[in-house]
Amino acid sequence: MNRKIAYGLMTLLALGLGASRAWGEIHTQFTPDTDGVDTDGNGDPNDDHVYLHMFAGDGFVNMADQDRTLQYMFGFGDATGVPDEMVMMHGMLAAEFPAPTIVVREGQKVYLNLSNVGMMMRPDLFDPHTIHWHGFPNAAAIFDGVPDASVSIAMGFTFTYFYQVVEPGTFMWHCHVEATEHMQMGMLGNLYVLPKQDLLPPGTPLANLPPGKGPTHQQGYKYCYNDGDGSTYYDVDYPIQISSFDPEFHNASLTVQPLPFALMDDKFPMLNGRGYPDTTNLNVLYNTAGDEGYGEMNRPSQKVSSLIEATRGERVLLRISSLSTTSFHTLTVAGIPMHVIGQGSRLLRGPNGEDLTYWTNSVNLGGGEAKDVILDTANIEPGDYALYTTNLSHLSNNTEDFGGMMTEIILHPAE
Amino acid sequence: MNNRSNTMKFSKLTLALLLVLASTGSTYAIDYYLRAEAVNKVMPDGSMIPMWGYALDPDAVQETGQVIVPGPTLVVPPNDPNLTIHLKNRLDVATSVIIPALPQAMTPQRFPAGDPDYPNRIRSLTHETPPGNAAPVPYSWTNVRPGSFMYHSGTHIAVQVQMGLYGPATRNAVDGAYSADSDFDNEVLLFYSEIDPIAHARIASGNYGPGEIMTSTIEYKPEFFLVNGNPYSLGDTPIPAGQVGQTTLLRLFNAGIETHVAQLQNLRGLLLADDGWPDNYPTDQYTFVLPAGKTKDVLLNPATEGIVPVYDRRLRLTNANASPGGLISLLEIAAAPPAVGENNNEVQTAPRNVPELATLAQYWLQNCQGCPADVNEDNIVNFIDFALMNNLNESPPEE
Amino acid sequence: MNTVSIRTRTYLLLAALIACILANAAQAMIMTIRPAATPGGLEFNLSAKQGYILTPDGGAYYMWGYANGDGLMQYPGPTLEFNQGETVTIHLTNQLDVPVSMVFPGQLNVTAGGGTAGVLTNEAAPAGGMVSYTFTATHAGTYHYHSGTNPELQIEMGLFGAIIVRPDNQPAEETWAYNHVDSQYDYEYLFLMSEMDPTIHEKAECGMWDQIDMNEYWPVLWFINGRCAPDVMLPDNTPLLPHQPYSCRPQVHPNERMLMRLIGGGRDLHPFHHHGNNALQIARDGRLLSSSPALGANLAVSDFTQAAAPGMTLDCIFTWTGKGLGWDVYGHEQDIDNEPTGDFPGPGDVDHNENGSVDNVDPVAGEDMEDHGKPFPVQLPDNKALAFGATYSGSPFLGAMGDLPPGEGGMNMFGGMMFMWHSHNEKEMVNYDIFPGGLMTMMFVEPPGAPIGGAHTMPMGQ
Ligand SMILES: [Cu+2]
Ligand SMILES: [Cu+2]
Repeated sequence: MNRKIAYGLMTLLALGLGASRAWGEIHTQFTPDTDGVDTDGNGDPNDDHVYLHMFAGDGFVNMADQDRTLQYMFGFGDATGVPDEMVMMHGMLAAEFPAPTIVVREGQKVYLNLSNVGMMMRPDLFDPHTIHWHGFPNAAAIFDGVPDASVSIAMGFTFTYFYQVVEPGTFMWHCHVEATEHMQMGMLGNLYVLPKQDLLPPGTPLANLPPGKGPTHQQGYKYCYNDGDGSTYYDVDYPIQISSFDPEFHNASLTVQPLPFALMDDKFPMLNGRGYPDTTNLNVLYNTAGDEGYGEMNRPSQKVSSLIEATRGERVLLRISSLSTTSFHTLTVAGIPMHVIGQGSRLLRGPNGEDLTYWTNSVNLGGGEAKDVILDTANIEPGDYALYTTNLSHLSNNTEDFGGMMTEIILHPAE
Repeated sequence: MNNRSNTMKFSKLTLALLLVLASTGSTYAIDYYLRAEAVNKVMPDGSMIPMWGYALDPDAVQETGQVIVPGPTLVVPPNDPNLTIHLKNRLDVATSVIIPALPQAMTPQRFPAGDPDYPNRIRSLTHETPPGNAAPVPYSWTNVRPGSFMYHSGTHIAVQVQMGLYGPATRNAVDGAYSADSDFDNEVLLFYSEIDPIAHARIASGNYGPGEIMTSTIEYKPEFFLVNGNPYSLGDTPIPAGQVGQTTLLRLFNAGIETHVAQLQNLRGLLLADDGWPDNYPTDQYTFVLPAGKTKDVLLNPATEGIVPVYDRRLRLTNANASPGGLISLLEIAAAPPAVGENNNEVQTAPRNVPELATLAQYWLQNCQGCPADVNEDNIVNFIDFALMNNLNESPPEE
Repeated sequence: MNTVSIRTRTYLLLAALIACILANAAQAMIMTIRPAATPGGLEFNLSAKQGYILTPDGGAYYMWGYANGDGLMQYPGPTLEFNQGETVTIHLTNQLDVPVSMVFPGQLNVTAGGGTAGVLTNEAAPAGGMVSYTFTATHAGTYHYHSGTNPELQIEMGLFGAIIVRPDNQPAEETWAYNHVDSQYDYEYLFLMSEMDPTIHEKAECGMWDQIDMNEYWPVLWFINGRCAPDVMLPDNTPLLPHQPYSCRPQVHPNERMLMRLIGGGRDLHPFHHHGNNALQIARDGRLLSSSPALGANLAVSDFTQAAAPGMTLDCIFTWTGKGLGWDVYGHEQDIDNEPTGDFPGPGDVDHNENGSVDNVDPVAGEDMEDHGKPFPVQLPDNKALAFGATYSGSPFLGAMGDLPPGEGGMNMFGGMMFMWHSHNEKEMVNYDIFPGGLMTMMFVEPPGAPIGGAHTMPMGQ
């Protein structure tokens, strides 16, 4: 165990949070579904409650440049299924970027447990953390995760968030404690809600299904929203989250220097926590932290690929969100038009059925914005396409060219 | 092209021409011969910026066109939606041309797997044109929809677009910009772009790339902001933009890397379309957000004559920090013609017949330098082609 | 609210205590200036002046701003209010030593009188020059004005402000933003956003004009209505901020409609994220998003983040009810003395209000009846496991106060729920290097019956 880690653990112990006692404090909550009502519409009245367990701590990720620049980060990881007494150890230096993707279904009740495992590399910090379900409708402050307006969970403890999920759509989640810092440091991820319409009885008429799919709903059909007409049908969906790192900020955090908030300037633009070409790698990426003396092993820290694959004729739903802490970004797919069908977790439709969806070739998102984009590949030639930012200077992994905020779309020929 | 008002006449004229052609059973596909080449551009402060631009050549052989930034306006006729750009490359590096907003079969080119710097990465979004190619490399689009589009380099886009390899392309529907609902009398293009002089100098002098002084564009810092290739300078002549009682289609393009916001003053406009996609419900606005790479079409219907300033509300209104400058355009709305002249509109916008075209062509041939050799009064088709490419008006062009 | 529980008593008492400091709670919540109407229309007298603003990081920055008559320079300039159809003339007197002007984007047929022609409009000469602008507001809505002279510098220096045009056809008993009931609101708030690079102001103060490079622009301060958080929470006209009279303290009761008037006043886009609920964007650039007047705001779009572009105005309707939470947000039928058990009532539960049911309380107007009486779903950790926010009431329930450790919470008198409204380019939530701050405020959902503070329309001084 290297010295920095040992120091971190010692601090935890000194605080009385270490060893068995502290780990005993990790106490997750879950209430089984016994109400006998099938609230998510899947036919089973006893499976509507969802148990999730995330931890918040720190870790490392590599950037996509050839040098594999290692960046210190704060982040979340998945502890669902990990015994409570093992969570502190499980979360040590195991943060992921982006945070684990949360996918739930409309009608479910989510018990989202957050355990604060502390920041191993920053034993001087005692930061609490929260979960902000960004865009949750009619939120209650207690579960909104804004530390100023509610509570946040201290190191070594667990807070259970509860969400009755009433709106389908594309949201996002992140920590809201010292939001500029914790989000720049990486505490953010994808979150989306599947609509009940997916579970319609087969044979239900839907007037606007794609050609060849109608005129009725069939088992396995998927929709972005409860559109009532099948117009948001998709074959494959991909969350695409814009984010970016400022290496100066991350290095300052690691070396306990004053944080350069005012000078924050992101140099590693990313999609789903990776720059190009890592975006196209289907594998879980292990960091090089162990090799570089931070902890005993290289950990799986970047789990979300952004490689998009579809077969010609399919509809590809891109659930695009941005959690950049610094700037707006514009994304385009050269050669494939975009049909924007939703934004802000809502179907684009007026009160009298007005079609407020629109076609375009690029979408522009600031931090905290989400847009649902369908790529209809029916008239697109099979081949490789690029999804990339038109803020072309962000096609860089810092000082390295041909990187940054870009991924590839592989469109296979129809059989 | 800064001071030129492009009018609908030519699309109507094209319509007339096409009617003629259709009656004789001819086919007509629009082909443009573009040449990518380095060019220097002088800024208002006297600084010389090395850029890469496009020239419009008359055919596959001659290289007589002038290299300009932005590139020439490529007009796709209403009745023939098939476009081919034949590209010649007179740069030192491979290049290509894409129109991101149009469906196009992409054939990306990658660095080799053994490349020390960028193994396997896409370097070009579609097939490349090598430097010094003798035969132009074609890039084709079928069924181009009506709209305003941007073409630009598809190769090493972080560098080549910034260097100036971009230009506008437009197509009208037969009866208006998109349909009869968006018919218009006059047309104005405002094409925004940016220059980071340091990056240009380094790229042009071979000081960009792995191991060089500059290795990526991440430190982008533009100093000049161009409308139709030139930053605003005090005293610039206003752009004729139609008259009271007529409609003007304002085509907005942003080839810059930053978002700009075109703000109209003393006038509002109907936002018709985004990237050449008409909106289901046009909205009445005075600000038009132009993220990088975006095009928007706005229909103006001025009720009063006078100057309508259009400027970047992101306040990129300087030339290397000298004020005023940058993204300012002054549109001039002329007074309505006298009541007795009500017929003027019809006269001006009615389809022209071939003799009229011939007269116009003759006028142009006398005044036109650099007209391709096969553009002459005997070859009206080539003239129309040429006119379309260059957005010629009846009045002489201003240089 | 006609129900009194042990919790509501708490805040009613508090309400009584502070009733004396809150007046005209139902008035317009945006401070504006509006001169008396004359047959020739309205005449505003503004001047362009210099002064200093204060920021929470301890900064004092040299500014240029518009002032109401001979008043103090303001950042932002005075919010001008008039009615649709009224003809307004704005007389601008320039007390700066550079030319200055005003432009009115989105307005038609603005005529300038006096001054000398500049690039965008007529300008008032330095040191006492005058110019006048006249136009008729053809449409209701939210607009803005700014200097048309070297706008890249003068907007940065503070020369911009908001305009509110009231509709000409709203019912007497209601408040509408536009001529359609879809724009009806109970409270309205202004969110005029801007940003600042202090180095420009420092150089301007010293007259080092040739040192100012707009291409080096690097904002480190971000504002709503001319104030950085947390100063936005100070009252309107606080003597602490003499040049920054406008607060941003949005408050609303459940089920009421809040009109958010968003304006991009600076030069950057800001993604304005409003916690608590989506809002319906009903108007853009001073026009209802409508395909035909009879259909109202039928093109309105719901979102949780509003992309406020510079120059653009957005009007949004925000409503919060707590509907669909799956638990009773008022804590009805829950034992405030004991931890929620999930199987209420449990042993030891008490009938506090002695109505025969254990803590049974009548529903409140606008409450989601689906959730009435449903228990709070989880157990909150011990206080030792928590950090507490300054605007946390101590209770998860609306209208309830809970025990807080000494020195925690407190900025929440009525048991409201607070939601952060902020730029989600989170970098903009700092004041220089200090977090939190910047383009941020706290929105209060106050329990039914709790007072909502406000500002008044000030009569013009001349
Ligand atoms: Cu955190
Ligand atoms: Cu958020």
